[in-house]
Formats: sequence, C-alpha cells, structure tokens
Amino acid sequence: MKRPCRAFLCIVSVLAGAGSAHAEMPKVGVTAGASLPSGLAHFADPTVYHGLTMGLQAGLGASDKSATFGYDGVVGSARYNIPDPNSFGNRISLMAGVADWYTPPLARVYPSSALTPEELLAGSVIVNALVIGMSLRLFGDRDPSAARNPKLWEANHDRLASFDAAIVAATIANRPDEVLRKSAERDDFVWRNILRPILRRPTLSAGALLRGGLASSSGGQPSTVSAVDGFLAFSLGKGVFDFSSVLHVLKTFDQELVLNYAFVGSVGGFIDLSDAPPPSVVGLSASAGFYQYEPRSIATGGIAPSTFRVDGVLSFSLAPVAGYAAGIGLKYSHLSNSDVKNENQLLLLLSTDGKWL
Amino acid sequence: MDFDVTGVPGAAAKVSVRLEPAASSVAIQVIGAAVTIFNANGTDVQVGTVPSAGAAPFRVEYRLHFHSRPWKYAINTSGGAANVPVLSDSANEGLPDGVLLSPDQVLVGLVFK
Repeated sequence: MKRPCRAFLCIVSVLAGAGSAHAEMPKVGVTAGASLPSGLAHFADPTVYHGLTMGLQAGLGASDKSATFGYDGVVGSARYNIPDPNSFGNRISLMAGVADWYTPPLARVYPSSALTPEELLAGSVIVNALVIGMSLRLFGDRDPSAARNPKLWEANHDRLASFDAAIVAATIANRPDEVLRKSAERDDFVWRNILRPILRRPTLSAGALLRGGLASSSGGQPSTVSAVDGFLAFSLGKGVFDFSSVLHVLKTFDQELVLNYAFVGSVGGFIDLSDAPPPSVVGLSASAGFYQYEPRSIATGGIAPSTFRVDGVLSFSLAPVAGYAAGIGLKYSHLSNSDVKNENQLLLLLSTDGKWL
Repeated sequence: MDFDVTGVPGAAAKVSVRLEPAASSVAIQVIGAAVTIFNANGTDVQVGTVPSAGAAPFRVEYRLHFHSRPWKYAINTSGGAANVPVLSDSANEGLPDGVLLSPDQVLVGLVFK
C-alpha cells in the first residue's frame, strides 16, 4: 500500500559563524610577501583582494634630504578587484588614489652653476596628485577557495573527510574534549596542507600606475605633473616563508618632477610569526635603483646628474582582524651621488588596509 | 531539523547527497551510533528499508561540512521512499564567499516512517 509522502517544516541548522571555533580566513594580509611596504609597491599583487579595499601608506620623517624623492610620501588609495571567480576579470585590479611626490631641493641635485639664484634657495617641493592604476595577474592564483584552486583540496579530501568523520563521531558520543582536540588537529591540517601552500603559490603580475596632472603644489600653484610607473611583481613562498620581487620602471613627463626616469628592483623576504592563521608577519626587503634627473644647461654645456639609491625596509604586519590589516616599518635609505655628498635617511612607514565592500 | 519521509512499506529507502564544491565538502552519515563518510556525488545509496505500518521509524542524519564558500547541497530520497528534496546554498543562508578554517556545518535529519 502506497502512502503519500509528507514533509514537515524543516529548519536546516547552519552553524556558520557561531562561536570562536569558526575562523574565517582573512581576505587581506595573508600574502604579506606580495606587499613590499613602501608606497605604491603595495599595489603590486592584488591576488587575495576581492571587492573594494581602502588603503593608506605613509612614510613619516621625509625631509629636505635628497634621498627623499618620488612616491615617498603619503599614499591613500582605493583598490577594486573584480570578484569574479571564473573568468578573466578576477585577474584585474583597479586602483585610484592620491599620492605625494617629493622633489628634493634643486641645490642638492644640480651644481650651483646650473641654477638660478631663486632655485639655489628653493626648498623641497611636495606635489599631491591623483593616481590611477591597473594590474594584471599574468600567472598563478593564490585564492585558496576550492572553486579557484581545487587541486590541493582534492588531493587532501580523504584525509579531510576522515577528520570530519572522527569529529562527528566524538560529537555523537558526547566527548567534547575529543571534539575540540580533533577540530584543532583538522584546522591545523587544513592550514598547513591546503590553505598555506596555495597562499605560497608562485604568481606574476604586471601593471602600471598613471599620475595625472591635478591638485596643487605645496605653494598653491596648479600642477601639471605626470608620470608612469610600470612594474612586474613575482611572489613565491614555502611554509612560513614568502618572497617577493618587484621591478619598477618609472618615467616622468614633466620637468617639474625633476626626476626623469628610474629603474628600481626590490626583493623581500617575509616570515609568518605563527603556524596558525592569521599570522603576524615580519618582513625584510631591499631595493636598489638608478635614478636619472632632468638635464640642465650650464655655461659650459649640459649636465644630467644621476644617482643610485639603496633602501632597506624592516616591517611588521599585525595579524589582520576582521579584514583590517595594519603594519609598521622602518626604512633606511642610502643615496650615492657623485654631485652631492652621500646621504642616509630613516623613515617610519605606516600602512593600513581594510576591506570596505 | 528533521524531515519525515514515507513511502512503500518494506521497500528500499535510498538517499543521494550532492555537495558542491566536492573537493572541499564532506558528508557524514549518522545512523544511531554508526558514523560513516557518505558518498556526496549524487549517487543513490540504500540506507535501510521503509518501515512497514506500525513499525518504528528509523532516522538517518547527514552532517554536511563545507570548508569553502560558496557551497550548495541537495539531498534526495528514492527507491521505496518518496522523494523529499532538501537543498540550499551558502548565498541563500546569507553567508559571504570565502575560505574557512573550520567548516560551515549543516545538519539534515531524515525520518523514514
């Protein structure tokens, strides 16, 4: 005899987000190696960002020294990464913000014979302008979701299922201590064998930052500054270690910026301070660059001074909380200049980053 | 919460569970004290027999663990049991996409009567 099927009201219990045992992976800050903590290099690798994020990077202690130039000031930016898990769009990151551009006193760059009396007395100039940028991830994907990176999830699925079954069995048997212990073991397994290895995958990104003529100089005069900063960033890591390298090619199109073009290479190493997410991270990065100033005419001919600058940055990034990250760093710069005496400078770097939408 | 499932008394009670994404999702079946990993690719699996009239109902519980969002699931009954589809997804539950260290857990009970 057939009887009709009956389905009573069903409430499915979703235990997501309940209690401290549930730890959502932060979307910001886990790939510290991708973020060289100095101004716009932060933009280099948008891999784990989705949606709109707001950021502020600041270098405190900038001075009249000739070691301070380019994007060494405050950078406030908003980045938007297309949150599309299945198409080309997730490789693209867009950015808009404002950035200070420092120009050292001209007397520290050029010989006095190349300067007017007014220029000889002029101080440093800080010019603020809009910047817009875009980067494209050429290869590699550090998004740890199963939709984007299924291979490690698949390879470890049997082990993951065994952990989950053991936890359910302990739950059914009302052994709470065992549930906690096995849950901790499983979470550790997931982090060490699936999530962190994905977050250390090699990635290569390329992009450019365009600086528009806008805002005003420190003297209140309209500015027509413009510059292009192209970069190529590669990241690779293993275990608690992550490494990143970035090549920058900078070209300006306005003599007001004094700097004409530059080639800068950076490498950074980063160490997670804990084996559980989200970790705080200590980083050490170094960069070396060749900087060519705008040529000037002097009575005996032309002069186009150049300089070589080496930077070292020691940084500390706090473990992100609820998607918000903050870091602090010390930046040491050494300038070798044949025309001006060598100079050293210490900058305090502050960085924040938060997911907005 | 539980679903009541009825059907042909004495016939096979089959259940299929499909979870997505399969790589980061786990289905655990609980019958009494027996805990087993359940095939979550949508294949019909016989879990018992629909009780005859007057017999005590038996209950099968599925604990679904999702380690990555978005996720979705569908549970169907077949064989001698009439189909009682149960399905949902993380968006429907109001959960934003992301990766989880400890999984989202969904409990579905089927009571065969």
